[in-house]
Amino acid sequence: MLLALIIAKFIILAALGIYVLRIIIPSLNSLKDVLFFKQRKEMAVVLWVFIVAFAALIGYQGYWQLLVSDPYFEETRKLHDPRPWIIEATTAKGTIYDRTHDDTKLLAGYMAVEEDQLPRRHYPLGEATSHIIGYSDVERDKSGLEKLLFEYLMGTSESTQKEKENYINNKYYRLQPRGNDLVLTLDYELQKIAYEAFGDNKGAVVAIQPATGDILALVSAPSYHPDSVSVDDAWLRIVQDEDGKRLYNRSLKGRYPPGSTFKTIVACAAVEKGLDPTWMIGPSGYKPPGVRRKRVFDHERASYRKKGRTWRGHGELTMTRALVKSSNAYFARLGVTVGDSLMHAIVERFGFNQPVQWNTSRPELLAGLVAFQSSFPPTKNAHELAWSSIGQEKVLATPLQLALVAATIANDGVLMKPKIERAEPPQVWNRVMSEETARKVRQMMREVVWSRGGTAWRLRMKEVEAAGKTGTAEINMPIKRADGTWQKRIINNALFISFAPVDEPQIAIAVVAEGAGYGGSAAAPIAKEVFLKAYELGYFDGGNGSAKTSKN
Amino acid sequence: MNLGILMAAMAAPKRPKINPGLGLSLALAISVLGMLSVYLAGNARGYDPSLTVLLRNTVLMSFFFLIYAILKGSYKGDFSILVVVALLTGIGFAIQYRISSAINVDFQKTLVKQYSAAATKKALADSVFVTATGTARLSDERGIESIQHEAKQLLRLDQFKWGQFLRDLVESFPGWSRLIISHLIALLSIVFIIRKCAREKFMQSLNNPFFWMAFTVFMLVVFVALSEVGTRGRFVYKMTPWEAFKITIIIFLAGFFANYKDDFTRKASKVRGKKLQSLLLIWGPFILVWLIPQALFVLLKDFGQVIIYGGLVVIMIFVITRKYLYLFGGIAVTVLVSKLIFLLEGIIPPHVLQRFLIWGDVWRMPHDAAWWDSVYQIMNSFFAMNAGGWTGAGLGLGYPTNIPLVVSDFVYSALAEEIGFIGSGLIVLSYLLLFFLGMRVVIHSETDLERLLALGFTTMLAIQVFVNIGGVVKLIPLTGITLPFISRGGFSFLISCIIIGFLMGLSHRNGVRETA
Repeated sequence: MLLALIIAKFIILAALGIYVLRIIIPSLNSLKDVLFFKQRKEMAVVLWVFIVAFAALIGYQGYWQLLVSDPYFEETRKLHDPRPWIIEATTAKGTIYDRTHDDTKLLAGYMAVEEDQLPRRHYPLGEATSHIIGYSDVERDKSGLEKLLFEYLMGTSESTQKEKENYINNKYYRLQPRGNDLVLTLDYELQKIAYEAFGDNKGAVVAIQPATGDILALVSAPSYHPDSVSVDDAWLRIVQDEDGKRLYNRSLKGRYPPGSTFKTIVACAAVEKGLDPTWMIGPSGYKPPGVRRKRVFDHERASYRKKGRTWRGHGELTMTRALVKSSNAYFARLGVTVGDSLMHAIVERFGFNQPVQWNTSRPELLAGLVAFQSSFPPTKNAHELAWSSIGQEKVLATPLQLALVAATIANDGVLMKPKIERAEPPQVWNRVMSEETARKVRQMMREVVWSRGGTAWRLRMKEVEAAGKTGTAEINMPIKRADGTWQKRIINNALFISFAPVDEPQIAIAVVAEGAGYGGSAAAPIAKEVFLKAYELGYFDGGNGSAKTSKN
Repeated sequence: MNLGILMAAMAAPKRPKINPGLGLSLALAISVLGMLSVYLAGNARGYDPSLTVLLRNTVLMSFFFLIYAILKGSYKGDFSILVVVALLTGIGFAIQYRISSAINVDFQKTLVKQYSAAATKKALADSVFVTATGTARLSDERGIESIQHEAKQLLRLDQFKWGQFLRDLVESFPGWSRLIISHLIALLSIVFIIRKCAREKFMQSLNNPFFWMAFTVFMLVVFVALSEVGTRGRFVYKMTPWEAFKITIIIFLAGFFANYKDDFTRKASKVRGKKLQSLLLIWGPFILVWLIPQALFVLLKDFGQVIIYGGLVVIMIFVITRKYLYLFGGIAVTVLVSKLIFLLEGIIPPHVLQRFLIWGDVWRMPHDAAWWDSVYQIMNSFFAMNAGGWTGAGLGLGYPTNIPLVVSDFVYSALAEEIGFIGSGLIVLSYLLLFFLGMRVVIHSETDLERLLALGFTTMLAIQVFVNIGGVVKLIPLTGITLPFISRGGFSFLISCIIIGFLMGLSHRNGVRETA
């Protein structure tokens, strides 16, 4: 019917054009003498006055319709033109799927439209995904992917599939108010379990598939429910929560001292350099070379003292053993031994000191998906290098960066660009270290979990053989008292990076829990829950079978 | 191809036979095509164009064939006027069908209200914290129930059912009877006036300026006295009754100028030595009869009529006296007055003054809510036109319904959005064609009275079009004038039809004379 209508339109318009020409020409013909001022000059003037007036109408309309480029006009239109609002309200935006592309596991979609229900934007995971997926509201605008990929989801961007399929570029073919769907790399179940495992803690979880760079989970807590953005009271509660900073996406924008998790990077650098020293680590820790240096003590020293006992030192430590015991003194010394230049080379190959390179072909995602860059500033002397090597001093890393570190070690030393869209082919960012080095460090990290006295013993599970490294970073946190004065308090950020299974890692996870205590006790259980869920989902089935059988 | 037609037409005799039946069919076809496009677009978009209304409009359009059938035998004049009118009316039906079928107007209004509030809030810095302080007033309830309901309606695509269609037709027919009858009356008035114009006696009765003057002024005074305060004289069914007096005023002016033509054109005064007295003798009555209706229009606060009436008088005086001073002086004075009108603050009504101020400078205070309220209509019209571009959004695919008064005063913006710059430009050209056809009647007329009558009616339509479209595109200040044949409004359509009746009647007289 549409095609017939279009053909009819052209035929009728052509016929009408010819017909009207047959009216116009004789009328102009009979007015010819008058128009050229040959007779009845007053009539000619009247005619020309109206011709000019009508031409002015068309010209003025043309200006407003086609040419206007007034900044005020643009501004006013941006503020007040209702067309985008109406289009948005009357278009069904595309669904956002998780990596399984399963209809029961939507990340954003419309509620089932029953007879009495509304087609309203719905986020099944609610708080778990609100930072990455974002919200969409009249007054509070949009955020997250809902904002960045708005045009794509609405189907209004140029060269969408619908438009390509039109055999005639006719406006009436573009009618169906339905946007484009999006398939993300996030896993519905992992995202959910990661958020639930977090409980009341503040912090972030990032899970990455090492071989592809797929981000499986990207959780920031505390969070907010996208639906509550529309409710004024709830929104007030969200923005007034200065402690929680609920709108802040910690997984991409939170920068934390990596603490002991940074030791894995030092280990990588050392192995890469061919070092595997066995050092005597006594109770007095390690004093960096030079004058007036602060000693680096092991963390056991403080805890022993608290219990009233005397710390007698680790004794002889290999690198593996040092990583298992998370010896500050050993790794400070190792870092100084490796040297500043190699450390920086390795760390920067891991992605520090540079913006995160997303694996995406969408310019709006490249520009809009802001992940803060992790920093490992140049060290001036051995003291700074020593402290940086144990993840203190000025070293800062985002949870995403920590996950990338774990993923790189898991992926035989190749750093993949993180990606958020399923359809993108994997891209290599950097080769950080040799395969041999990665394998050695993986074994070391396995020992952290499985050997006697390992700090990450809580990650032991019979389902899958995991490896990891704990971290506990002390920070001075200014706390506001009730009376308005500020008080400095030392809190412990719990950090944990891990991957599983050890032989052919499928998932790498970084957990950061602000002020939650020790990495081994506060952060590792969260990672464990994610691993268990991943095991349930069959992430580890594709390996060499060790996932199920390993029980040592 | 066009050149060939051009050459053929050049070679053709002075008044070639066009086929009015074909022209009316084409106008009907364009109208139906437009409405079908709206129907399709509406079904896909989710608003609900009704097929019964489409059918009704088709029937209304086909009444033109009835007029043609009645006139066919006896009418000797120019049928192309009727064809152009039918074409414009057809386009009017299509766009009215589109605007009136958008049942989601309320939904859009809710939306616009919400978003506008949000937009103004966003314009302020740190809006989040303004909200977060808690002392700021929380925004209005979203009325989610209504949005849900309307959104459901929007996304519903109804299947066509014959039974439902017929039932709708039968049910809605009584409601339409007034519309159909008034439309029929308007069209039949064309026939009536043509028949009347053919009679000498009627033409002589037109040649009686002071009767028409007295009649007009008396009726106007009555209406001014009767109209409620503050309603700008709107009467029953919201019609403005003095629209009818445009016709009597034209008749009066034509008769007046035809009878006293010599007094206007005479250079020296008849009574030597008493120049002032003789000047007063000629101009006195005219100024009197010109000022009274103008004053009444000012009283009624109908600024558009002042412009139309003033323009009409200027053009007629110019044609009679052939002094360029009157025409260009009149235009210059109008421009000057409109530019200096801010000096009259306090004398003229504020809403008129505001229109002038908006016309002078739309961009006075970009982020001010009060400013936005005052330019809401014109800016939405610009948004609509700007969204249209060259070829338009397509009939039924635009979003013009948020412009206030889009069915009557601002119908041109809707057209500009939906059929684009090209389409709406062609409509302006169609009006210009109608003007040309009218001027052809003027030039072929023999007596002064007929010539001035034809000139008056022609320029009346043209000025009306100019004032309406000029207001919409901000070429001149906004007025409350409707667009002839396209705007909704049974009464203004009747008046326009009477004007066309006069034009066709005068054309008929010319035709009779030429064949004789």
